[in-house]
Amino acid sequence: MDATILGLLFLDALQNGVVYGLLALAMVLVFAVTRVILVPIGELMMFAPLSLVWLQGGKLPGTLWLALALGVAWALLTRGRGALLPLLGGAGLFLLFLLALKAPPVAYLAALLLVVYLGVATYRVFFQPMRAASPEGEHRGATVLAYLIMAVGLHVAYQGLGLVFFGPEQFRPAPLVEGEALVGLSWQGVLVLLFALAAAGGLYLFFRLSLYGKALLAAAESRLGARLCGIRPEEAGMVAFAIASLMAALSGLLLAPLINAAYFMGFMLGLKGFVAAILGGLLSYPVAFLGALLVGLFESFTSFYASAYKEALVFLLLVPALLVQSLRARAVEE
Amino acid sequence: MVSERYNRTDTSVTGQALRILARRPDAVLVGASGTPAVLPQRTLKERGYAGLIYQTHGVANPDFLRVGGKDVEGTLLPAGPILVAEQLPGAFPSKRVALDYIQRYEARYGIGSYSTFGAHAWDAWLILKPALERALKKADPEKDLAAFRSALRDEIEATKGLVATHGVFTFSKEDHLGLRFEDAAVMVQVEGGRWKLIRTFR
Repeated sequence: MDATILGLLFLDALQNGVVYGLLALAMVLVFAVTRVILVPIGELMMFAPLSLVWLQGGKLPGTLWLALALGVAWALLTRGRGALLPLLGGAGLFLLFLLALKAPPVAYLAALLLVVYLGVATYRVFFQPMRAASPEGEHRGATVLAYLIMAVGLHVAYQGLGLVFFGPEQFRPAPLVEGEALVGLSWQGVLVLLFALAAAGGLYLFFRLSLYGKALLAAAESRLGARLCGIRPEEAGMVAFAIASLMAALSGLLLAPLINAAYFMGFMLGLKGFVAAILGGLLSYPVAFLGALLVGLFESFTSFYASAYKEALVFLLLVPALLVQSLRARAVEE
Repeated sequence: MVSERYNRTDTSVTGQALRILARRPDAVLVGASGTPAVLPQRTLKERGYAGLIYQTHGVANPDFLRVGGKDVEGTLLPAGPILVAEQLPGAFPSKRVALDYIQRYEARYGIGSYSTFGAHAWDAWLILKPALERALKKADPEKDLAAFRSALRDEIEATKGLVATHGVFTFSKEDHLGLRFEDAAVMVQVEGGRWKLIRTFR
């Protein structure tokens, strides 16, 4: 171990850590607003670059049909004028994809919007009806466990569909910028870091300054109180899912040239983001982000010292974190 | 010697690559299948490794070349001879059968679509078909399934000198692999984004 290796390991840890951090932020946001632990975020993340590769190859990806099918279900669930949003959104998405086949630069936008649409539709079709159907009444929502079971089911389903749509092999979209900024950090890696910084800052400003952000915070604080103030929890949930899927899709698009995208690549990323979110108690954004950097650091050094036990050691981080959390836990609102 | 592990889901193998490079190896063997084998090789290249890189026959499909691109130039691997069928010397026993398989496969799925893996299944069928025909003459599976099964096993074990896409199969009671190394493996190198035969062992 010399200074060069140490430096390279730190850079590696930073690059991995910020991606886990972004996913952890998205998970904390979604959990705070809806009590859903967003396990399928890794799949949403991979759908973006894989759809992009398909579009660049001149084919319509299967994820488009999945999104449109969920959009129709969304429209059927929403009676009246609310059904216009999924229908118009779906039609717009379809036209954008046809355009992207002709004009390759549009493909990035198309892949991004596809995942956002898919994420919101996922919430509207699968999670929100659970909320309405729970025995406790609409303002309490289903239990965290019921949401978790649904989330794990969706993860399995989306991963399987990913295999059907995109096949078993990896794909590497061309990086936006070639070359290395310094030894051990490519320009694409710099982009990932800058995006993480911008996303974290953007989220902070969003929550502090915009009305939607404040409404989300209110909904996360107390559902009943937010309802009394005229904030519709289903709308808050949809906005939370939209932000989470946007962050997942953007980091997926930026990351894919570095890690090679495949249907199976998302789960581990999501799981490590989840570990980071747990380190932050699924509550605190800054602690979750710091937790993510810790996970990245731990992973980088265990891959150097004990590569065979890397994953086990990373997930071992959960044990002390959960111990501390449960010792100082107060009753959590379910 | 140093041995490091990674997963196909790993997004970075920098730690493992650095540990390997710290030992200044003459050659690195990556044991992985398909496109996940690209990441360690790319990381080694990015960290300045200029020595030999060996992969296994697990990467012998077009997707490895597609994802690897420039990063996998010069890779050495042992592979089934069908991978470079048209470059084999004329006397190589499995050349004709292999070319026939490739022609049939590409007629159906497109030029450049074949890999060595489908050819293994084709070989299995080449072995099984005559053995099944002979076994059916000896025993009737409708009447006595156990007798048919042992007849089929005996007939497969009786296969001698069957030329297939991956080599020449000669089975016996003791030898259930049936291949001889000289006919079943060749050394291949990635050159200009294509597989190039560099030596046979005959």
